[in-house]
Amino acid sequence: MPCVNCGKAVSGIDAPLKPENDSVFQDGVICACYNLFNNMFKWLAQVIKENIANFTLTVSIARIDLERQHNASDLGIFWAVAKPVFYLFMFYFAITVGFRGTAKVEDLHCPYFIWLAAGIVQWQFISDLLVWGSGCFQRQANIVRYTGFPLTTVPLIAVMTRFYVYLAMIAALIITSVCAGVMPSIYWLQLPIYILLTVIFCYIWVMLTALINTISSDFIEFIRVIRTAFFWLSGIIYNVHNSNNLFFAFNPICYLAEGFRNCFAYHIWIWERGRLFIYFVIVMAVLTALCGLLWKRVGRRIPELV
Amino acid sequence: MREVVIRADNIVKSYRVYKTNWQKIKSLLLGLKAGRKRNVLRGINFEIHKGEKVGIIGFPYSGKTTLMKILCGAITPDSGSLEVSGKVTAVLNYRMGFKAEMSGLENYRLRCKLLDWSDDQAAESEDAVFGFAELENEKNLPMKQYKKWRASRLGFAIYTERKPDIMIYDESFSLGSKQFSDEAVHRLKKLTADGDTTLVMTVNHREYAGMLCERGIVIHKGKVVYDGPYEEALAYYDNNVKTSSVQNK
Repeated sequence: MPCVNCGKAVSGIDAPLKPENDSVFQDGVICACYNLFNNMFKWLAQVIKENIANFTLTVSIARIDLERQHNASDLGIFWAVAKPVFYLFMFYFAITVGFRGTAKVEDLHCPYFIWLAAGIVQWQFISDLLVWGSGCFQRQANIVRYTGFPLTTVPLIAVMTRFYVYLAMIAALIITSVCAGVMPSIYWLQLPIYILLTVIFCYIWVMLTALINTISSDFIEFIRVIRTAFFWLSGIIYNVHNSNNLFFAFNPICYLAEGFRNCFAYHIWIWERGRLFIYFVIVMAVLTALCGLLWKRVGRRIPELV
Repeated sequence: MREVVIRADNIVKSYRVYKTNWQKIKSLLLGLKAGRKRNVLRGINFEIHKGEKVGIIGFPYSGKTTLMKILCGAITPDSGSLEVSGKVTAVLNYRMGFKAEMSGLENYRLRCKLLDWSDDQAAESEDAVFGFAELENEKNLPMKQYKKWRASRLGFAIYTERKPDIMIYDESFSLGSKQFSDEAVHRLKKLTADGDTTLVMTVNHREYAGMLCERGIVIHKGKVVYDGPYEEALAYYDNNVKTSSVQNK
């Protein structure tokens, strides 16, 4: 597609826009970058707008999907919460008895169990969506194929389906903390921020993997294989709080797990670790840009591909 | 002159057929040329006015369903422009979006949400929909226990319960029995009788479509080859398109 100013070919999410200041945009490369970013922001605005406009419908479909997944058993949704609780006790037992408490963390404002639970709650929500989320377009194929349903909301349906269990786990974590003698602290006010960041990360991840999954399922098999690596490399069950390792710094799962621990265990404000927040934003921006580029290639073909 | 509610201008749509997954990755992910291009629509032009009842006639795989999907916004054309004014209800698949594990009633409520009905509207129409589908006593049973045609009836009843501005219809009228099919056509006729609702449907059953359509558009090899009164369009299809397609075979 030729640039409106310099006439050179440019690529972007949509058709290029005419820049306001002509003199700056004489060069084709600058023009291409301008259009790319401009269209990327336009796409992002469209994603946000569609998700807000259809949020009620998204929540309804997610609730129905969650009920559908669990209505075959008599105890229903109880099993969705039982799995992470069992997981937590298993790790607690393994670490305190099996490893004889060698993984204990210093300077905590709560029992070790709560520190561990804060990380496990985050991991359970994220790990559920790491692979399962990638099939969201296929799971909603009937809607995706036959209606003009806004496709950018489909990943949010997958996230919201797991979000109910996530909220139940956070409530359980808060109750357990209080029962263990940890009084509510002002640092807990940060929880909604970390929850929001977790949902945004999961949404972007689900959209990215779902787009890739419509082209090839091999990548998803790869993620399935390395899911265990995500767990062991994200500091869920060991302390990376004072680590200077860049891998942990740029690992968004690690940042989100540490975020919960900042509220419950370390009592640290989000801005005290501003550098890590910037790293997290950088990773999110890269993932979002990948999503945008992939959306340009695949987005409008999704109804044909699923 | 009645207002134009659908204006299609040079609509082009093609699909790529991939033999291997690698071709798909090359084409979609890397943007390289791979696979075989299949041109389905090669420049469709027409205007449809408010209240018209139009039948799209064509050989199987002539692009009728693709056109219907484009009209309702389920897929986007490669090029060309399409203007649609008004609320569209598209019947592309009766059982679209039904979840087998959920009851008929839960599926009904979900479908109402997808059709953007309010909770009050859904509650108000519930008895009428299940009554027409003859499922008053089975509405709480899981959908998987319904026979296929019974689920289809429920889908049909929901779609045709409220008046849209434009009804896009791409389904068969085989809904279990001849009597029910007649009732279905009658219901559709009633829905579009006042001239406010525009009907665009694919002609799968000539007998039933003939009771509804007044204008026919014949599509052949991705182009509109005839546009005129329904009976004449059928005659054109029989004498020119169908014969040439059979001869080519």
